[in-house]
Amino acid sequence: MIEAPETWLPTAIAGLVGLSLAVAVVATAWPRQAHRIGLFGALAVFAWVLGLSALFVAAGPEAEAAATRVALGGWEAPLGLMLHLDGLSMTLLVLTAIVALATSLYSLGYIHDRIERRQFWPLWLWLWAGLNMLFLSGDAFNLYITLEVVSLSAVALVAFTGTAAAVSGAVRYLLINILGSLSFLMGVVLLFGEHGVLDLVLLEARSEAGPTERMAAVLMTAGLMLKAALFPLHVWLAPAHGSAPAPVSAVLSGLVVTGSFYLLLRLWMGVFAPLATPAFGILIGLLGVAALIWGSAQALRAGRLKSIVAYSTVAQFGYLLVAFPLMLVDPDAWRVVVFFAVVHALAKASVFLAAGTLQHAAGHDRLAELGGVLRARPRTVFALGLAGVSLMGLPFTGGFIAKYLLLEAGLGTILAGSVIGVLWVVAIAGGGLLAAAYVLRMVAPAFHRGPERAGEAVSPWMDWVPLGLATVAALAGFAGTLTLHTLTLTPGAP
Amino acid sequence: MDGGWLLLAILFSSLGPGIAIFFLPEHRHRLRITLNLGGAGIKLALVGVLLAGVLRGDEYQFSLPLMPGIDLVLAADALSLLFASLSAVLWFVTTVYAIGYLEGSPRRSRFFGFFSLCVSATVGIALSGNLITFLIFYEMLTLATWPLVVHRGTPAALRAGRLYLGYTLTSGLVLFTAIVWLTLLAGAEGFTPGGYLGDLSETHALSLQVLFVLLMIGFGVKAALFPLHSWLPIAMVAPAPVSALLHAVAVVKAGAFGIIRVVNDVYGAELAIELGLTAGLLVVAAFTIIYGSIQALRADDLKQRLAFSTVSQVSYIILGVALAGPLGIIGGLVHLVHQGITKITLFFCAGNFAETLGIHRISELNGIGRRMPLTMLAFTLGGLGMIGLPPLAGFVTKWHLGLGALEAEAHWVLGVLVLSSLLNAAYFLPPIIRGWLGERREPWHEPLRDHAGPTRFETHWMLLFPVVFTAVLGLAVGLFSGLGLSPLGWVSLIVQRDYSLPEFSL
Amino acid sequence: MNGLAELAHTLAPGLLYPTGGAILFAMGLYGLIRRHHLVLRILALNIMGSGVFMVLLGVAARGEGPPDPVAQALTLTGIVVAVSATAFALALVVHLTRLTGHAVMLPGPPDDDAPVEDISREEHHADGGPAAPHPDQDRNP
Repeated sequence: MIEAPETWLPTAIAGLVGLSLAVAVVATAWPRQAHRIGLFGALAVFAWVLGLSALFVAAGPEAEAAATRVALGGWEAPLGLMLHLDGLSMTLLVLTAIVALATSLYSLGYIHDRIERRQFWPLWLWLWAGLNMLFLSGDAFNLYITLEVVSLSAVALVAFTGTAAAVSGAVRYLLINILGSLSFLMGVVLLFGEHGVLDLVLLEARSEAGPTERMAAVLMTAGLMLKAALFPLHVWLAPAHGSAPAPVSAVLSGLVVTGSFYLLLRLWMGVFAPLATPAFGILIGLLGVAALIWGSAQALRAGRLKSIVAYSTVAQFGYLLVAFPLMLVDPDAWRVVVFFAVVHALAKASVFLAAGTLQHAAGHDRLAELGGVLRARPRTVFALGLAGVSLMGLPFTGGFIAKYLLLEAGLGTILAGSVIGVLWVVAIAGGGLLAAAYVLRMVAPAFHRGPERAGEAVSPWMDWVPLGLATVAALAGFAGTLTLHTLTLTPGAP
Repeated sequence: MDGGWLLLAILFSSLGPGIAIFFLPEHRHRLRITLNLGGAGIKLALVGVLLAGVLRGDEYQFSLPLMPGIDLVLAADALSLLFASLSAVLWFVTTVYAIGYLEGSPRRSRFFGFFSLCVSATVGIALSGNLITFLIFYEMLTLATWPLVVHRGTPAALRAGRLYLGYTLTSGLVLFTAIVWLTLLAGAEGFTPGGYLGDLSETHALSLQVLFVLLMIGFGVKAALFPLHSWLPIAMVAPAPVSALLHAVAVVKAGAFGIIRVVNDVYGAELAIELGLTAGLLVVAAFTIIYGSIQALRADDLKQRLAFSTVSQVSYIILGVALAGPLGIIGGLVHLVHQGITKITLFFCAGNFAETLGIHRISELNGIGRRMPLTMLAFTLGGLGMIGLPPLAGFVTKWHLGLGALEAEAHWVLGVLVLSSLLNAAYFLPPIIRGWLGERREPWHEPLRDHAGPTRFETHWMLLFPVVFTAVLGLAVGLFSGLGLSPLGWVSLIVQRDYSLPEFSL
Repeated sequence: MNGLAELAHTLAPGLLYPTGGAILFAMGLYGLIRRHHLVLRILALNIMGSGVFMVLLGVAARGEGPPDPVAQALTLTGIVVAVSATAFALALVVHLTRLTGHAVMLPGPPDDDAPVEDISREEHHADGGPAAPHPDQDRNP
């Protein structure tokens, strides 16, 4: 007898949390075997997430049937902790699984020192487990805890190389993160004081546009914007992301930042929804435009490959802010925003991995002296270019579909009579040109006439994984319909 | 859905080999040539099958959902086949030429990889069934041609590449915005002969006019319409096969084809006339024709002269479309093919002169007819065809354009045609006269023989054969234009089949 | 501040704690921004944390009956997290001080010409200089 998929969902959700935690714990307990445990664990978690998503989509098409809440230990909210799976968290779990698997495979080639392997893998697996729990938490306080798990392991990974620059970057990253978390926690406390519950669904049901909510919204938004490096709280990002080891940069720019953004989106779609006014939306949108311009300008000036990529994260997150006023006009647009974030994460991670390969081969990532290596490594340059095309939002990539939907939402606001919509449309369209300019800076030296220099040998993992992930980012365009459908399985969202 | 698979197969016959070639090591040149020619040959055969099918009246369509409500649609109608067959035939020829041209030069894997991507994008444009699909392939074409333009890697090539990308990406964004807007207004309809915007003409007239201008800016950059043409003469620093492809098949044609699609299959000629859109387009096209010719007259560099000639000649296509009557459209559409065949011949010739004898300027052409008679003969045929000497291809075009102008009662267009023919003669006759009648005292400098050893013919056979082939083809399409399967016959079929224009008679 | 004042009203019985907590939070933030010595900055963060916990305890004490046990449990958890974060931060600062001789951060955005340490390369491990991390110090959990 075959049971309905939704009966399996609670077990599968709890199992995912259990599995990813177990992998992290086991790797910490046996550091000598950490890389083997990590590899098999990564494959297992990846497979589990895919299975979970299949169950989840099969349980649709009613959002209420698919979205599942699991009470840990049988304790229901408001007292117990709830795990919460819906279309939004499912999408981000799958994204995390894909990027994390690619990063794990890449790290097999990147980190070969025995001692470093022992340190890297447990930290990295904790980070991944933290992200999985972050996406599954349905409880405000628990979200704070998962945020801390993610940031502490991320900081440790930034400090990983142990140089003064890296440690200093890590300290800066840590201070910023604790500040963000405390600000978030203060907001949680205020909400708890007002409503006496922590569960997000219960909070959403009780929330109104009162002064406490407003105060909490300011604190939590500021804290999360700090963590997500949203303009103007972004200054820490480039030093931290640019100086971390390549797989770490990929995860930070691809996943960790997206995780904070996910939380921001979730809060504003739920608890803080009554607070969103058009004027506030326009303010956020203007910040987004500023982020696009500032980030792109820095990326156009930066002299190092990884700095360019890091600044491009600031610029690309500007789109997410620009999308905020669009969501106020067309509430449906939130799905586009998530799709954009997903596509960006895939592309950005592959760009960072490709940059890491080039840096490894050349021994540095100063753009001016990188020409020979770029010419000698067409495969990596191709990956860089392909992911870059996705960042520009040109066909055939996922970025194109995301850009199309964003533009559609932007033009929709103009047709709905909003004059400032013109600014959003110009920003969305023009941002692609800026992206093209800085992607071209990275790729063009490969086409200059000059000697080739293969540099240091590169392991096959480092050679092929960036290309594979870039291909996934490009083909994500074909997953557009599926992703948007999955996202509709979010109860309570428009 | 058999038909859909045929369309996909046509697309993948160049995409597949293209991707495979990227990953080939540089020294595997036999395998590379096999993949190249195999892909080109298969594509040619498949397009032949499709041609026969469409002639029978079969329907071909393939669609894949991309976004909610928006599909990637490939479809084959008579118009798309006109462009698809042109690119399939000329790609085969250009591939042979490119193999000969690049023999022994570095980075051929990269070159041929992008070369194949470029042709896949072109065929995709031809087979696109709606504007969004068109846009997707159109932007792919931009990206795939950039590495070809900068292939030489010299500072000049990179500068040209930057300019090219700057122009095409910006226009691409304008086009992108316009298409999203149009889709919001009218839905993601497929191309429909006679247009699908009729219902909106009352309520959204102004929007449609603005959109038309945006669309023309988007396509006009690639079609090198004045004042958006400046990238084209600079992009001729690319290797000769690339220039040939850019000017004859891929880029400028994609722009012109886009304008044809928008005027005929999105707006529809009637609506375009009603909104006063064709009149403006007509003036821009006419001006570009004259402007391009005058610029060509001033250029001494052979390829640059040819590039400005393209600016001028492609606008004939747009002129025909803007005349918006059946005869004008016939003239415009048939020039899509005629200009392609003629211009590719001329670029091949210029490439042969440069490769074999190191000659780039018109003032150095004296007496070249005796050293390279076949190439010079092909050049002469091409040049005379461009001028429009009967019975060559260009004459057929100009004849129909003239008739179309009379039909549309735009008599001043006749003046433009006559003036431009005179200018064409003024810039094509001097190189021809120099080539045949000029005297050369000193011996020829022979870079090709110096580094590749003696050749059996006047130049490498892989450089000579394509030139002769396209020259003969150019002669044939003019001579046999009365036959049903000639470009003219096919274009008449398109117009008969697709355009329900008022008072139509052939 | 208007919001805070109103907030204090709603939490009337525990007015003192939330107000005090908010003041601590603000003081900590000020210290974090103004001070450069990293130990002071970490202390400032701790003061901010204490402020948050004070508000939380005030929340627990609101109403008539006995204090809310959930809020107290949350406070305890929060303190544990804060302690571990502090310990980690201090370990990083100690390491940084060993490397540079000062307990302050290096100047802001990376110099574009600064060398980047690449742990995937051989020479990173060859010289065993400051780049090679010592497994038993600092970063073992």
